This record gives sequence, structure tokens and C-alpha cells, in this order.
Amino acid sequence: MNLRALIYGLGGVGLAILLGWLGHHFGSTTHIRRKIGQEPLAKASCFQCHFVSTKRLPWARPRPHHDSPAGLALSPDGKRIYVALDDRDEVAEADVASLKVLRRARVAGGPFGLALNPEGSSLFVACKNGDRLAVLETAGLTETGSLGVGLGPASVAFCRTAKGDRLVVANSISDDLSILSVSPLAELTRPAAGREPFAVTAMPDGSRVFVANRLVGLETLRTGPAAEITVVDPGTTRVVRRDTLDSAHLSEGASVVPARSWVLVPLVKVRNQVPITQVANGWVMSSGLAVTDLKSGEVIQMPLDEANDYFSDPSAVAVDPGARRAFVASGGSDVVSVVDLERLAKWLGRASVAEKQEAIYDLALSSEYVIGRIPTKRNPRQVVVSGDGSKIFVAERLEDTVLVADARTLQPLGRIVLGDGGQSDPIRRGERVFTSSAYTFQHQFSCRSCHPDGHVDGLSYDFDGDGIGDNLLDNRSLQGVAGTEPFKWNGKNPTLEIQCGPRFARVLMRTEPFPAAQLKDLTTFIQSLPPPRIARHAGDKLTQSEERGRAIFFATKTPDGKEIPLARRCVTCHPPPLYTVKLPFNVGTKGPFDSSAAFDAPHLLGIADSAPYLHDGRAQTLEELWTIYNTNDMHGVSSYMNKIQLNDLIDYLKTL
Amino acid sequence: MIGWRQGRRLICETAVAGTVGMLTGAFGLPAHGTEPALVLTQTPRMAAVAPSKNPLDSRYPPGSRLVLAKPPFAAAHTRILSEGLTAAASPVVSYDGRMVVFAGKAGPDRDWQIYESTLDSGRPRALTSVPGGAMQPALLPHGSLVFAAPADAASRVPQLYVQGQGGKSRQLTFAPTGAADPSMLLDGRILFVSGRPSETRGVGAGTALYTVNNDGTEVMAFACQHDPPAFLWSPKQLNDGRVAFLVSADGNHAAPTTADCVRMARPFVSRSPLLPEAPVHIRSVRPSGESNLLVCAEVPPAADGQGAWACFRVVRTARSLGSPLFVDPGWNTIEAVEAVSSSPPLGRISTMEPAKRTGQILCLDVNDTTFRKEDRPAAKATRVRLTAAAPAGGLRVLGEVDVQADGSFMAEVPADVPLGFEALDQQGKIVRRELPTLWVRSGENRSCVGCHAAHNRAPHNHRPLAVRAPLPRLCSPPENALAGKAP
Repeated sequence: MNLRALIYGLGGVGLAILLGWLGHHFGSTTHIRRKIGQEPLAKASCFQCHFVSTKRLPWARPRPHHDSPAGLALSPDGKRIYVALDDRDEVAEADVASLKVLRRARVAGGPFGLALNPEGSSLFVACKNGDRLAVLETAGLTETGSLGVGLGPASVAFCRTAKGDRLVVANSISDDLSILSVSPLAELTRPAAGREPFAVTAMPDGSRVFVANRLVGLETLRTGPAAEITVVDPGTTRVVRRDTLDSAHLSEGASVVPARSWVLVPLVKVRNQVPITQVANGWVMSSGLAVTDLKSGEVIQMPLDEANDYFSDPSAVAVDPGARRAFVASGGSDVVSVVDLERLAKWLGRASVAEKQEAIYDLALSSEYVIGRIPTKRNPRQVVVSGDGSKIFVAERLEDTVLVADARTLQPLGRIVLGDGGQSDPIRRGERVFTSSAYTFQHQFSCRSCHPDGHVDGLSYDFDGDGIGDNLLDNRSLQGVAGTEPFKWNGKNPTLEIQCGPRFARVLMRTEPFPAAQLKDLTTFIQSLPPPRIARHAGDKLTQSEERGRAIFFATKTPDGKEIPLARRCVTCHPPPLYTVKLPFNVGTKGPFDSSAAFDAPHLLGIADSAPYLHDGRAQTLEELWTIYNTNDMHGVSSYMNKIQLNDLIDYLKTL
Repeated sequence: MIGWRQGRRLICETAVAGTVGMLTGAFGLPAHGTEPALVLTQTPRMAAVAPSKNPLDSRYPPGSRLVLAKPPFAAAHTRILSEGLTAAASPVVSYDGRMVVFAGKAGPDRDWQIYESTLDSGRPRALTSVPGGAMQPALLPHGSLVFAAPADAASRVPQLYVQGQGGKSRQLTFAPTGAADPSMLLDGRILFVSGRPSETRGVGAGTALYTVNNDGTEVMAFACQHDPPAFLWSPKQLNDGRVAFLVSADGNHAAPTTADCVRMARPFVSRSPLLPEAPVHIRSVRPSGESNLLVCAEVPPAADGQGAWACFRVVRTARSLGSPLFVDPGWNTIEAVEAVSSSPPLGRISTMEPAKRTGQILCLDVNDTTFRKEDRPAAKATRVRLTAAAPAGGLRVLGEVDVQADGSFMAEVPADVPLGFEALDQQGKIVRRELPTLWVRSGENRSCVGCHAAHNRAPHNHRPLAVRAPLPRLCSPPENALAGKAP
């Protein structure tokens, strides 16, 4: 080949690349303008709509599994501890004396919550991913029974009532409780709980079961967010009371204290309605412990943090049999806080009503009753106390270990090693970053504090992007975000690295950005999160209503034959398979304090479980999107729809 | 209570120290077990202190020096780190344990400036060249220098400045009563001492502890604002969850000085003597190892009738000093710090927008006066008058803003100007008043729970009405601002 030919060849290739780039850049913009009837408000490419496949996304790929301890249960004689390993589909049995794992049983469906009957002969396992309750005989550690329950069962409690043995299962996705008879294993009722029921605790006499719900009720968003403690009579299988935790949520644990007639529920005290001008002084959130006095009905929220140090993501609580101490595991801070219940009772006894109401706001109060902090390894999420009150067992979820500590001296005694910690897995490393509050000012919160399990906390926050009070933003799910860039409601962050990097540090962490290696692991973890689970299973056929809704979603004409403008069709901005065109659009939702009318078109995978909706969370339900906030038909032509058509459309959206 | 975070930090420090210890061995630091070397400030024992306008000259008379003392801490085996300087003081060891920064004076008529020396060579290098002098250095996580200036307090009250690698300094504080004695908290904030406004609930003069971010934002009361008047100085976070500081009845550092402490967990309600049975002449308290203290204090008079100042290592639970760790017959040892590496505090991205000349303030409820019941007036405030400290003294009025029905108010205010607040009732009468104390930086959005709200108090969760109302702009011309001047 001579030199001239080489130059011509290289020149030709370069010209082709240039023309291709120009064509792609300007052609795709023109194409999108023509196809959707709106000027793209961000840089567009062919990949907005074409060559998109969920099969290639990180969350669709196989990933390593780990021996992450979830639920714990101690045998009545204190010699054995059972550990749910949801990521392995196993339940492990360990010897408390030797701290050795004795055997493992395969339990399909993500075993998460555990409960034993008083004899210790039957182990009941809430399988969170399999939507079932499994029964294991502890003698052989074999599964002897199974029953389908609601969606996402996260915990189970055993109750011995006058009407027979009962199980109460918290179904975290379907927002209800499955109340079961044990013999025969059958579902008696399925009453509604609050939003995301997550932890269950029963009175020893079986008279009451208390259920901590993780998210605030949608109905409370306008008046003041509040999560629910659902109180159930397992004998009659009825809900007898619904207590509320004002401006508190993310409760993942509960423990009755019969000797004091209390129920303890750890909580995150959230301040989402206050502009985030700072994080100091618990301005965004702080941690607390709700004390429900069963005699008076009072629910008092007590702080767990200190004035200059915070103990984030309180996940579980356990009380010793003598009702002397409560142990609260803080998953973000790698610590178990030790609460002296006698001191707490004395404070409550001398405090006025007003002082009790204001207690949670006093960040210096916890020194009155928090007498120690036990350091743990990564992400303590469950804690149980031995029957004689001498030891506590803490599930260190992202370390694959169970810490055993002396409940009196608070000193560690050893660890049950379940796995290797998974440090070679970038997804696991990223989850460790995601769940750690070590990166935020005074350890106030972790990523998980607003995104439990990578999903939503159901709240909107007022970021002070440009001045105070002009930037109310709905918290979007991180589940299924891989491939849906750009990020942020204004679509200004092209990658997760930018979204989670300096911007996050400046606006929320109020520290330095994540170190580069941790940021890479963090984004790897986030991209590994699949979309939120929905009620239906793969392969399920659409119902008639869902089919009709599907036709509406993809419609190009109204039922009377009028053409729906391109820019007003659902599928224009929400094309499958991700149901987002990945561009910002003006859908007529600009509020008086918004600086822009264009908002990123979110993906719709798992949209049914992501309420509230719109960029500022103003729509509490999917219905409200069109019945209240689309009077101008800018967010899809919906004014022609009758009640049935709207229900059909929403039924279809709930299948995505 | 178990200081678990301190414990974890110390484990980390110990690991780092082990590594750096090998490195520092190459620089001549001790290989004497695990006991670290000490950097000491020494003043001549027999020096006559000439009267000086500069209090630093009185505290550190000519001949004051910095030395490195190695275990077993024999006075004869020290090495001078401030060679060539007339006086030196206030040592701070860098986080990698290899350098020491300190205040020094190159000649009798020269200003105090900040210097650095490597611990192996001891040849000082000037880091600042500030008119009026610079003093009391502290180090930000990435090596930027924080100091107070001017050192000559006669010219004007000192403020804190930060100086990066480029050598250009920026003013951090704008307190009318001055700011001094900076030191780093592990959470990344700068702890400092400032005078209390003289009208603060009638407690009169004195100083208290404050914090500010490394860009000058979020200035906040930390402790001792409402205690009986006293002069606090040299605050330092210890490794066990406490903050120690020195206390004297007046501003004269030669006066009897004790050491007090507060707990980070509840700084406003935990003040107590650090060493209840120690002598009343303490000049320095610094952390030592896991939870011990390095204390420099006066020992009982020797044969010559003169009291000497020595360094003590004191266990956390001790009530008195015990035996000295280091005594030098020819010198008073008045400050001591361990020559070890340490975990740097958290860093922080600035929230400032330098192009702006204003910031915004939001008060959630001006009528929240939960700090003390006696502060609660009968009348509720319906307007707030914002004032600013005028450079020539006195106050100037920036303007008035309406208080919303929920007690909230918001305003845009000039940056880097000390701001005061007067809560007015319907008749325009002042029901509460706060003299100019705090400031906002350019582009800073600053909030408070309420006027005279209790300290360490988190806000209620409600959306203040003020954020929905038009924003009052109280921005006077910038010529009155104190900002932007190099020291």
C-alpha cells in the first residue's frame, strides 16, 4: 500500500466518522423533534429509543450471592441460633457455645424473618422474595410446610392465643398482614397494614401483636407524614388500633417490654418539609426510639443521637428478659446503642407532657438513658437477646457474621462466621458504601436512609439548590435506574457518578465526595438493583382490564377517532422496554417555585410501588396524576377518559 | 460510656502510626517502644518579661522556642525546631506526623508569623507574611492552614483566615468580638474562641466556644455561651469525646488558669473541671494516645523559690497531675503535643457561591424561645428588624421583615457582615434582641430554629410559610462589608 492510498483511506474513515457523528447528533435531534412533536430539551441520540434492551443492563446479569444474615431466632434453651440467609436461600443453625455453624437448610424464596414456637420445635420463615411462609422442623432442619402469603413477607411472629396458635406475617410490598393458623397452616385473614409493614412483635400472652411499618402513609403526606404502628388481636385476627409516629418512618424493628407495658420501635425522625439549608443539628433527620405506653396509649419519641454525633438507620431493637436494657442496632453507624430502660422510665416519669412531646428534638437528651455504644462490623440489622439476658447476638449483614457480645459488660465475646464478607465483589463493596453513614457530616445518614433497599422513602425534600424553598423534589427510586440516564429530576446529571459524586456531597453529605474507588463501587451496586417488584409474576397474562389499559397506553387516537398529538401520547415519553425516553419534557407540572418547566421522564418499571408521583411528589396516587394534575392534557391526553378507562390505564401501569 | 468512635479512630491511628513510625524512624524520631516524641514550647525560666502591647510577646517572651523531646525525655536530649527565631509557640503536628507548624517571630521587632519545620531537620520556613502578624495555627485535612490574625491585638480584633497551598489567605470569620484559637474538630468544623456580645442576657464580657465550617459558613455556638463570664482559650477536642479548654478570670494569661471540659454529646450541659485537683496554673492540654492527656502546668516551687512549668501525661480518669513526664531545669515547658500521625478530620465541599454578594437567612419560628422560660415575652413578635455591625462601630439597620403566621421569616442579606436581630411586637417595641454575632457567606443559605431557641435542638417538621412568601431583600451596598480583605 502506498502512502497516498493510506492517507486517502484514513481520510475517508475520518470523514465517515465525522458524517456519522453529525448525522447522529443532528439527525437524531431532528428525528426526535419530528417523532415526539417537542424540541428535545437535552442532548439526544439514537439510543434514547433504539437499541435499548433490559437484557444487557447490569441488574439483569447474574451476580454473586453472599451469606448475609437477616433474621435471627434463638432456641428456647439458648443453645442454638437460627440465621436467615436470604441471599443464599438458606437457613443456618449455629451452636452458641462454639460459635460454629452446625448445618444449613435450603429454603427457597429469600428467607428473611424468623420465629420459633415456644417449644423450639418449629421454625417459621418469612420468605421475602418468594411471597410464602415456610415451616421447618428444627430437629432435622427440614421444610415441612409452606403457605403463600402477601407480597414481600419480611417478618413473622408466633402467638399462642386462646383460640389457638397464630402467626402474623408482615407483607412489606402488598402493605398487609397475613394472619395464619398454625395447625392447620392456613391464612385466616389478610388485613391492611400501614405502608411497608416490616417488623412484628407479639405480647407473650398472645393478646396483641404490634407491627412497625416502614414508610409513612400516603394519606398523611399533606397533613404531616406519619408512619403507622398497627396493633392486631391475633385471636380475633382483627386490627384493633393504628398508632401513628408523627414525622417518623423507616422503622424496621419492634420489641414488646411486658414488664413495663411498653412497645419499643426504632425510627428515623425525618424533617423533609424543612428546607435543607444544613444538616447540622439533625436538620434533615435524626434517630429515635418510639415508646408506646400500653396503659396510657401515649407514643413518645425519644432521641438516640448525640448533639454532635448521630447513629443512623436504627434497624432493630431487642430487650433483655429483665426489661433492664434495650439494644438498638444502627445499621448505618455500625453500632448497637444500649438504652437503660430504668433511666428511661425515670425520665418519662418526671417529664411533663410538653417535655415528652419535645423530647425527640433535644439532641443532648440521650445521655440521660443511653449508657453505651457497642461497636460492630458492617451493617448491624438484627439483634436478639439470650433468654437469660447474658448475651446479645447481632446480625452484621454486610460482613456475613453474627456478633456475640456480653449484654452486661457490652464487650464482644466472638463471632459466628457465615461467609467471607464478599469484599472481592464490587456490588457488595458498593452496598457497604451505600449503607454507611461514615461519609456524611457527623454520620447523620447513609444513602439507605432515604433509599431503603435502594427504593423510595415516599417523601419529597426541599433542596436549597438556588436559594431557600424553591426546590421541592420527590425522592426517586434507585431500583432499576441502570440505563435510564440522565438522572436528577431536571435531567442534568448524565451519569450516576456525577449524581452521587460532588453534587451529593455538597447538597447532602456536607463533607467531601466519596473517594473514587468507593464511588465506583457505589454506582456498581446501584446499577445492580433490579426494578421494584410488582404483584404479578413473569409470564402472567394481562387481565382484561390490563389489556384495555395497555391499549390506552399505546393509543394514537382517542376512542372517538381523534388523533392524539405525538407529544401527548404515553408511549412517546415512556417507550418500552424501560418506559422512558430518557429526556426531560414539559408536561405542564411546573410549580410556582420551579425554575424550569422541563422534567426528566422517569422510567415506569415498578411504578405502582413508587408513590408519590411527579417531580415534587404532589400526586399521592397514580389516579391523581390525571384526575387532579393533568387538567391541560399536557401529561398525556386523558380528558376523554371515563372512570373505567382511567382504572384500566392504571391497572396496566401496575403491571410494568 | 464507651467512646466507640474514638476507640476506632485510635485503632486506625495506631495502625497509621505504626507505619509512619517506621518512616519517622528515618527522620530521627524515637524508636523507644511505642511512646511518641513530644514537641514542646519552652520559655526561658529566668527571662524578665518586658511590657508589650502584644499579648503574644508576654505569653511567649523572647527566647521562647520549640524543641523535640524523645523518650526517655531527658532535658539534655532535646533538639530545637525553631532554630533562628526569636520566639516560637503554638505547635501543631501535621496529620502525617512529619511536620510541625507553629507561630514564630524572626526578630524582636518583627511580627509573629506562621512557620513550619520538618521534625527531622528543624529548619523553620515561613508560611505567612501577614501585616500585623499571624498566630495560633491549625491544619485543615488537606494541609491548608488556618490561623488567627492579626497577632497584634491592639490594631483590631483578630479573625480566622485560611491559606491554601498557593499562599493566598481568605477570611473565614467576621465576628465583631473577634475570633481566635482555632482547632479542628474531627467532624471537620473549626472550633474557635470568640467574645460574647456584651448584651447577651446581661452576662457581660467573656469568651465562649463557637464552630464554623472550613469556608466560614454555618457559624454556630458550641458551648459556654451562657456560663458565668470568664476567658476561655486554647480549646482542643480530646480522643475520648470531650473538648478541653483553659479558663482564666480575665484576659491575662499570666493569671491563674484552670482547665475545664465539655462533652461533645451535650456541650451546653456538661461543663466540668478537667482535673479537679490539679493546680490552678495550667497552660496547655492536648490529647495523648488512646484517652490520656498531655498537660503543661506549674509544679511546686523548687529550691530557687521559682515555680517551674513541666509536662505531665495524665490518664483520663485522673483528678490530679501526678509526676511530671518532662521537666527542664533551664526552661519552662508550657505547651506539649505528641509528634505522631493522626487521622485527619472530615473534609467538606464548600456551599458558597463566590460570585454572589448575598446570602439568605430563614428562621423557622421567631417566637420559639424555648431556651429559658424567663426569656419568653408576653407579646409575640410580628416583625423582625435586621441590623448589621458598622465598621466604625455601632449598628446600622438593614431593614425590617414581616413575621409569618407560623413565626417564620426569611430575608436576603449582605454576605460577610455581622448580623443582628431585633424582634418587634405589633407596637414596634423590641421584645428580644441579638446583637450582631453571626454572618452568612456568599450564596450561603442559613437557618435557625428560633430566636433564643434551646441549643442542640432539631427543628419540627413543617414547611415554613416564609418560603412561600416573596423574599425581602435587605442588601445594602457592599462598602460597609467587612469581607474580602486580606489580613
